[in-house]
Amino acid sequence: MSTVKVEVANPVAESVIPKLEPAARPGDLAGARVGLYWNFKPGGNVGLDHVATLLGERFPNATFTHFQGAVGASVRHVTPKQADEIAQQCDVVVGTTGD
Amino acid sequence: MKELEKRGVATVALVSDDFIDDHRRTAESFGIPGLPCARLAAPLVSQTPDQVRDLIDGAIDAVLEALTTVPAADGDSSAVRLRTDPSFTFEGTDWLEALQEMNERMLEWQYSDGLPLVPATRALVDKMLAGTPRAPDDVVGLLEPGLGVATVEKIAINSVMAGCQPAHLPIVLAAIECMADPEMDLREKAISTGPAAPMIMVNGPARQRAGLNTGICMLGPGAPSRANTAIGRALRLCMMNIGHTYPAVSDMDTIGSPNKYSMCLAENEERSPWTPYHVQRGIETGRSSVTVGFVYGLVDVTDYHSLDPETAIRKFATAAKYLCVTSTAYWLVGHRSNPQYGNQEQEHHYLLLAPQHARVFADAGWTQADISAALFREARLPFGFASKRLEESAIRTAHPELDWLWDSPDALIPVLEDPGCFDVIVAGSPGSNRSSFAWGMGGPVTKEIRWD
Repeated sequence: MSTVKVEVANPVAESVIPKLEPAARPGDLAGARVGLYWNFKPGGNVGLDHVATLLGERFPNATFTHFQGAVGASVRHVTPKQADEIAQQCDVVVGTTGD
Repeated sequence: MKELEKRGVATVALVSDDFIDDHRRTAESFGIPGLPCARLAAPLVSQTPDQVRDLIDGAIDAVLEALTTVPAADGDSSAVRLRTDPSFTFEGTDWLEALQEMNERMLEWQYSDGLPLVPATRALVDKMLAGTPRAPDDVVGLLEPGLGVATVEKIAINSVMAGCQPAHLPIVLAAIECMADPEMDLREKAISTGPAAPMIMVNGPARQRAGLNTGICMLGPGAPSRANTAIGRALRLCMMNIGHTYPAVSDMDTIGSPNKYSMCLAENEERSPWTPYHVQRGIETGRSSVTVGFVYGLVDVTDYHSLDPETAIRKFATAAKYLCVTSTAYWLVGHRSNPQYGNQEQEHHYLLLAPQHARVFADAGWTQADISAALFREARLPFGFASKRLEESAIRTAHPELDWLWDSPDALIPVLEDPGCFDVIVAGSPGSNRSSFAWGMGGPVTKEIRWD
């Protein structure tokens, strides 16, 4: 039986994203400075408060600092300057989108 | 989180199971596949505080592991594989079977919008490319959220698939320029959990050159709107295959919207008593342009009785006072902003004014600016009612000068930030008194169409 072939161009574009290696991880959170980032979506702040409670029970010497995005509206984002500040103040960050 | 990882800070995102594919695709699009997350059984929104705490209880071990253990190099791969082959070949016992195989594979790979695609053969793509003087490898822009490289050729391929003719390509190219402009901040619109869809608005001689419908049934369906439908569809396919906005992976629209298949209108400039919309937006008279504005939805504005503009405005404004669309009173919590671009967006609404309605206003000496100003004055809601849909802390952060409103819940506030946020476009058939009102997400972007 004969076959018919149809060749079509690929519609999918390539991305121009440079690959990024994840940051190194501390072995544990003893004495860690933990950032808690909330983007203002409902529920996220309550969730992060509880993360701090639970991690604080396991690592009593860890410290916790809350951050919110500096720009945006009902969903708020971190600016590059703000990211620099968070990086100076924190060893690790827990973030939530509410989703 | 990517920005923090880049700065040497270990992160973990709390992500519900429903959004895992979105997380993976986003992580890949940011160049960090396998970006750690801790899975939650449900989203945190619309949960009581106790329910939120239960969700966190179930994820805390994963939080700790993600913060203290280097993630796997490859991580979990995204649900959509971005193939890099230059072409695909499909077989069948005849052409029909081969085309059916093509459509099935495109659906399986998620490169399709769900409707049968026109095969983008080399011959058809070359024919499409003849519709523009631009070189095939010209880069029109980068499309969020995937930051895909939108070359003229890739846009042409998706336009063929959508059923476009070569004369439509310059319009699609201009629409992609709008989408790639930082002012559009496409990422937030493309990945939203809401139904916002891009509405293309075409002005100038391009409407006739492309065979666009400006009158009856302009937004489709049917043969009279063939060009409108194909151009709108091409934009969606480009969003998917160039911007990598894939349903349930990066497009997180809760229910979806038929507007996402295609939404392309052409202003009825010939029946408008005023300056065309694009000229108001700064395009030279006689030139052609595309404006793209995202809209949450469209509603009928029927009014067969108002013979004076004041009465008409009071009726039309009721459409603008709909509370349960995100853009209503959104200005209270600030502006949509992407820190990468530094943009600050205002929300816009669009009144697609039927020519008969336009005549009511024009005969009384009103301009489009008068209509916009009147809608701004009339479309107001009590603060206590409007603020119920918004986070109090967000309102207080964005507008501390308005703290007095918490003691004055009956004070009326405008639904949009200023009169210029109401866009008026004359559209549709001159034979009936039925306009349409579209609730916007963010604001419009306009680009001139290049034919040569």
